[in-house]
Amino acid sequence: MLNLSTSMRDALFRQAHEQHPIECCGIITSLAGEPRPHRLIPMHNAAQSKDFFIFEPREQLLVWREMDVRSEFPLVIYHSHTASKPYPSSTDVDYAAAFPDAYHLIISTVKHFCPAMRCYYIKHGRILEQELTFEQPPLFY
Amino acid sequence: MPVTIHIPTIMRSLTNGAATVDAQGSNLADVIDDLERDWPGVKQRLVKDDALVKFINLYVNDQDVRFHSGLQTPINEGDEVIILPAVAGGQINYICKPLTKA
Repeated sequence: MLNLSTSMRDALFRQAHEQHPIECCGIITSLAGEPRPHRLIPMHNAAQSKDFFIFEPREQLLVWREMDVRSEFPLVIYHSHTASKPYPSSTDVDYAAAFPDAYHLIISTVKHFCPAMRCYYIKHGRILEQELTFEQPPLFY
Repeated sequence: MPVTIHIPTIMRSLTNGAATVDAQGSNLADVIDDLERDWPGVKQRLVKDDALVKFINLYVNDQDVRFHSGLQTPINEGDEVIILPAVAGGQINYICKPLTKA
């Protein structure tokens, strides 16, 4: 199960709709030993395409290096589908093979798909939907 | 010329869990061949039909080799080679037409 804060959820929808019809992409990190969302990192879609995304390689290297320094891991890899439902395509499954332990989150910017955000593990070519919940942060600590 | 290769998590099952390994060669193709001798199976993950596979990014001293000389990228002693899986995908092959009422 992936539990996102409502502010992180809203930021993901905002990014997806701002970049529509281009697919948006990015990652959410977690800290080592704490499998909770920690930091949202929007990435540049080097393909600038309506039906494909790819992290810009140089930016990816810098972000991966920064994660190493901060003891962070890619907990979630996300992107948008701008003309289809939020379900992994065969392209998504092919590329996800390198990240079997990450959640793969897909946001659809097509209005009639509800829910518009869905979450999966993709392991050994199999798509396993994961429960996605949203938590309102407490008003007072 | 020994160089250090950084191995991504997903490939460490091929290197007995090592995050970095050493290899030798005067260009990237030679280095990958040398890696394959020590760690069988690595080359198959990086090269297909004499070209880099699309699922992998390879950097020499932080430069993506696709924008340089690919497998012919020259390697010098002390260079750092980083292997990272590409992060990509998208709705190619999965276009849904909106439902229409009859």
